[in-house]
Amino acid sequence: MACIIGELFGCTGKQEVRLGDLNFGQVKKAMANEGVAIDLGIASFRVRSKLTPVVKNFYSLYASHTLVGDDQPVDFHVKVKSSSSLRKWIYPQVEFVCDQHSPFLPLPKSQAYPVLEWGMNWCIATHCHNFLLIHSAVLAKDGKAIMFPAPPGSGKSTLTAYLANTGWQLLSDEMAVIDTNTGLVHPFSRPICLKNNSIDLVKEWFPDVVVSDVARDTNKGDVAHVKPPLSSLEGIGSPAKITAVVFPKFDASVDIEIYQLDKCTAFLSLAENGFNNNILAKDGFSALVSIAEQANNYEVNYSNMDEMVSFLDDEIENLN
Amino acid sequence: MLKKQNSGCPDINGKQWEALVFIARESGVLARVHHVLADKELLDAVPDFVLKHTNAAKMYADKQAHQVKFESALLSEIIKNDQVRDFAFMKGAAYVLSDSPVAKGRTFSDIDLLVSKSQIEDIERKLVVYGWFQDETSDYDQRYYRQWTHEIPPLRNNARGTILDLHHNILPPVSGRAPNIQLFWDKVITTSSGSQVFSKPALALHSLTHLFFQEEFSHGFRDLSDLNILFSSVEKEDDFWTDILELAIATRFETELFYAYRYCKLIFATDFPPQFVDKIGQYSPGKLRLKMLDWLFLRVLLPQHRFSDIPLLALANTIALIRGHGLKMPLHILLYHSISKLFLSINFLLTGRDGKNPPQNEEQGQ
Repeated sequence: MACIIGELFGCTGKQEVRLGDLNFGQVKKAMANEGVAIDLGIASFRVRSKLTPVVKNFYSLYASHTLVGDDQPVDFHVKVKSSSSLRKWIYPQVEFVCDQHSPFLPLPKSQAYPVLEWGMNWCIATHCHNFLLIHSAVLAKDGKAIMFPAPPGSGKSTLTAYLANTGWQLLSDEMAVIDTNTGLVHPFSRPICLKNNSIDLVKEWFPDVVVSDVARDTNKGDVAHVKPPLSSLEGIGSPAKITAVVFPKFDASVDIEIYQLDKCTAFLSLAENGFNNNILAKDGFSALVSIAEQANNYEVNYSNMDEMVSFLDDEIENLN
Repeated sequence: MLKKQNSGCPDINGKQWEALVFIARESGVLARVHHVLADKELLDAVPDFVLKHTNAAKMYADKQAHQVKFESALLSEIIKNDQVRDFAFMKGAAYVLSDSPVAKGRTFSDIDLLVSKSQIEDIERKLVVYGWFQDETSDYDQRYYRQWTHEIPPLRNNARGTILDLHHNILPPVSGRAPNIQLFWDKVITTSSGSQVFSKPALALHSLTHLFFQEEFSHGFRDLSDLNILFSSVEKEDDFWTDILELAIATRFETELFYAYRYCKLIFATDFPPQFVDKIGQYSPGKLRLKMLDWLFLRVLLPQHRFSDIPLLALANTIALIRGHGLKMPLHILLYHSISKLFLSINFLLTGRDGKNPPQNEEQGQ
């Protein structure tokens, strides 16, 4: 079975094969067996699952991502599977497995696809300590990157989805991946996770985007994932300089309020959103200080998307 | 594979490097691989893929070592006073505090501290003031720990999440093999940084008895690797070899010392001084028993990962589980314990009572 993907590399003579170059049947078979190995830039994942919703959504959302060659090593082996015994049939549950372990408690089968995405986030956050990882979206324009660190509920993902589909390059939706030696942020482009109202909003704004099935009643409410635009994948491998840090917060009571942050507050807020700055100790601390010092730092409360985009465009234009 | 790397042979393919990383990661020795490569100046000889992972693991291990030093300094200050002088850090924490080569790349799940049995409850009470609490345990579990074992239920620091295991012996008294702990107290030394740990022979002996009394070997390879590094770091002429043998005889752990010697030799090709080899051989179990133990340990002490392709591993782990439990508890107590646990589980399934919260009517009665 390993040969199907290997053959594709061989016969097409292509250096790069994308997941969408395979047909659904081939992907389904591969995922039920040796898995499909996908390249995400800073890490690669071999993904297995026999569950149709997982295969279907994975196939549509990662169609433009490149596959890893059969003879190449892969960083993480992950699987979403049904729980064994009773819970396979009664109130069915699924489990995420990273290599040989299930790091989370099982979740309802209706959440099978998001479980894969959350599990992949977990793999990176708990293992990739060669980078500083911050809970943040990162988007770039004209080669200049802006970080959007924010806790859940701030509307960050809606903003991310909007920007990514209106000419900004998506480097990451959830996790800023920063090299502490260079201070640059690396692309880590994956489907954007939307919750509740923003799912319909994004579908309304961009009717052509590819959206996964909606998983209901998760602990974050309704959850769906949106395929990242092709332009974001073309940037894989090219890191960018962080020129601004914007802490966004959706607030229905204001059009837009922009606060410039002093370096100290910016540093503390960044640190609060860090996944592994405590593990990177001195290197992590120094990297966060550098970001706070080199970037312009803002807190923005807004409900008017046009005003927000206008502010961001101005910021990019004024940055040198 | 490590041996292949060590000889500088680069003819390993991508999938094999992947397997190496996965196996090392699962066994908890990924950071240690980084140090081995660095010591042998082979960091440039391995692909970036491997370095990426070993480096990340090293970052995590470095952070833990740092944290252990911080925690043990704090704990030493809290515990030490006129009444309490007897305490010693053991195993992982002790390796770090004594700057042992074993500490390089080592990760830990908790800090092990030996204290005097008569003082354990006082110390426990004092630690509460500094934020060290027990996780909720049932009455049964409390009795299990305090009556039968050599430790109290683990304490967790509520601010930092660090877990502390307080022991008053190195094996459960109920096993019948718990040594006269004074023999270990006599071997406590103070390191140059002021921490109290076992001397090298006592540290090694404790670690190896801990390993060979285990019921669960997911860290078996890592623990044996610790011993390999420890033994390899001692000069052949050092008093260590006579000291460890003397201590093993006094504490009746000669057989376990023999196992450590045998399996380090078979799995890591550890070099032992001839005078030690001459003396340890007499503590080997009989031929048949040794054959059975080889079958068992040459499975469970290998890195337990599906890429290692160890035949009948699941069976070996089950046998090891039974052996470990059997060593630590006499059969009648083990049976009582197993049946009690079964009953408590059924009770919980049917009534929701887990023995941790007071029943409703007692609360109302107050």
